[in-house]
Amino acid sequence: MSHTLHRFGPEETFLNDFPFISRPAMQFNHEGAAPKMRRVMEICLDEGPVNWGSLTTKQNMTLGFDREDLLSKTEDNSPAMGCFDDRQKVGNVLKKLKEEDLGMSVVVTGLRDKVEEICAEAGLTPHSADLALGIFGDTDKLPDEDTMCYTTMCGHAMISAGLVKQIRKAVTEGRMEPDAAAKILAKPCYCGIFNLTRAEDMLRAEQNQADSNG
Amino acid sequence: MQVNQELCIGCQKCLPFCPQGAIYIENRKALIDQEECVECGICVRQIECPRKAFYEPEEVRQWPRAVRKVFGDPTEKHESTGVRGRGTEEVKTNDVTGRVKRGQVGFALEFGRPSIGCRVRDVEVVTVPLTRMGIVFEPCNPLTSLLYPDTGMVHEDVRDEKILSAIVEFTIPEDRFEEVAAAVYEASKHCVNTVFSWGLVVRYAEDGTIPVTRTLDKMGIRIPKNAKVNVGLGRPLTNA
Repeated sequence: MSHTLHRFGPEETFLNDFPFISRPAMQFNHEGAAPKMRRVMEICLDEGPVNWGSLTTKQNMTLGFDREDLLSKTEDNSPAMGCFDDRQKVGNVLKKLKEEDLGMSVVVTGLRDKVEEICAEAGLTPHSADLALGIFGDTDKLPDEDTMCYTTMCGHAMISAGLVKQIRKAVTEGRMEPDAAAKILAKPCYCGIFNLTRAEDMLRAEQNQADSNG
Repeated sequence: MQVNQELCIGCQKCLPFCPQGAIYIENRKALIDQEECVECGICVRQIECPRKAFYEPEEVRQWPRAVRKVFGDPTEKHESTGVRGRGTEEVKTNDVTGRVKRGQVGFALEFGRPSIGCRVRDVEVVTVPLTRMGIVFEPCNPLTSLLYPDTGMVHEDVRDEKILSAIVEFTIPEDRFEEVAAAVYEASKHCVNTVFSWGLVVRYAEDGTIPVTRTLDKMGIRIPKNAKVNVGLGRPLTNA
């Protein structure tokens, strides 16, 4: 599914938001893919993602992340999933993957023009894209837009609107710091695509706004 | 999911965590609205319940309730796809699979997303008219097996089940894009119980452009800024 797509929020909040997924194609090149996927993960983790996760081990960086455990449990059909908050790091990862030519598919999500620039810098030609056209239907049933900026960072919808509202309230009332709040929100997203930096920045902006409003 | 009433102390710490808001308090005990629960399992996995009162009863794995688990719990693997998630590998491995080729457009209409969920029957708002137009849905998508291929209607036994989301997925020739996109857009006006997030899987042209964006522009549909880009590292690479 397209779980890294359909993130909601102002364009400027996506400038440092790059969810990353790599995986073998089932029935095409997944047999014997485990060592290649382990290498993809090593390259990514060495570069320093803002978050990383696994549905197999049910871990992400805020729940407690054991790199060696994840690598040892990597199977032929295991994806590599996480998020970068720095375009340079994503570019470095893509360059290394190109050099090593592991043959595993990679998708990078973000503002399309930025991702295309990163590909060009890494010497890659984008193959295909999944475009987010928006939300249709009974949109009155949706949570408010500020809440959706956080809930949609887990494409599997594991971060509830109720939790986001409670955490935002605690931050704007000065009962919780934005970095601690972002870590609480990140926990339910096992894929590790929740961008802690983006969440912290948005929460800090809300806190500053609340402070200036007195 | 269920709450063991003997263990629950009614502390209410669990209330904000349910993505569907299905947990409530009655007689100082937490309960789960079984109509609204999508069996995503976040309450069992995530909530730091001081008494570990949340549990998954056997009925969750029984048909038709099992549908909720399949479409709600991201840690579950689908029998039909062999991977976790509610759809296929779509653009993720398109450089190897060639699922969507040049001259084609892939549609991914994810009902219930973001966050609010849907009944399985809600997809009929698009699956019925699209079936009439001769659209064939992606066979590897788990939703397709719940549809009658001749009508696009949902099987009776699962139509009222609440799920977190389901993806109506299909590929068409690009020269049908305007006709099909207009039908989806029209259908969206009749989608009254939920929402859907609309994704388009496309191939880059040799000159690095995405041809369908010109059609979107012509139709007055906002050209999206967000995209999930397959960077072309998969091997063997398909140039189709």
